[in-house]
Amino acid sequence: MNFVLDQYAPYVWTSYAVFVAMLVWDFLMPQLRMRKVRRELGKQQRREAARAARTGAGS
Amino acid sequence: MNPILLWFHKMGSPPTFHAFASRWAPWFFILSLPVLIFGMWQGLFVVPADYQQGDSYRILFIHVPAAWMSLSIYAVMAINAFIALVWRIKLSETLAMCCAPVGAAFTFVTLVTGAVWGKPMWGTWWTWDARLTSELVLLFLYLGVIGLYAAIEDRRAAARAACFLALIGVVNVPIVHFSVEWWNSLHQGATIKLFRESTIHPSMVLPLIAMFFGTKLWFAGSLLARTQAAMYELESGKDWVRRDMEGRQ
Repeated sequence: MNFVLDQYAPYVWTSYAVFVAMLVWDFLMPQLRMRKVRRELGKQQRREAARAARTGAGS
Repeated sequence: MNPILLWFHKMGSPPTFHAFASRWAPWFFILSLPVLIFGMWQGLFVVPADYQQGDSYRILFIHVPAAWMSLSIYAVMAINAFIALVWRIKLSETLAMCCAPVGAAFTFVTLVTGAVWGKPMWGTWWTWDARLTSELVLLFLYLGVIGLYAAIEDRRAAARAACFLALIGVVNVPIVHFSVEWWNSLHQGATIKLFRESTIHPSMVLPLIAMFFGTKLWFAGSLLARTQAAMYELESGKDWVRRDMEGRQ
């Protein structure tokens, strides 16, 4: 484990950090997209329900 | 119909795929994590330093698995693009399109870690060498697929165009792989060989194998999760999505 202070340490740690950062990004992207899609759909459904209720009351 | 064919047939239906992805994507992520952590821990702290490159070669345990992924994800994308173009299966289109960002990310990691490794070992971050250049072309192909898919309004037409690009770009995959043999390259040749004796020290093989399987499992999880989200958006007008949304409220 002496390489922690080795001259190459910054290069090695940078590589591992880039990889881990990519995995975190890759994990979060689909979750965020799904959440966004569901939020938009929920809004749309509530709008439609409200419109249906209005026209129902007017007729 | 034989059971495997039947399974594929069923999986083509978006609600079935949605249920399948909901169930399995988390498991692929959960399974990949200990494997990846084990591989990185071995690569960083357990395996001995290289006799020539010292500790700098530890980048190999990120760089090489990422490079393998950059090529194999392209193959998965091209196969799905082919199926999408021939049989017009919407799920295959979406799978192909969802491969592109993950493949681009792995290619990016390959290029960055290669540069970070190249600086102390070759004395340069970058050189217009056959292996490096063909890998950069691979990144541009992925970005081209993503860009083309985003540029066309009609989702089905966009997917068809991008699938064509993905399929044409597949010629670059063997070029990347064989570039170190076909041309004089600064990049070293393969040290892990399937059909001949590997020229890597046996102690260094275990973390590489762990990273190989870890990244594969991770990609399976990522592709399922991405495709699930994309299908949900594409199918948002359909009854099954409506029912699923109602079930959640």
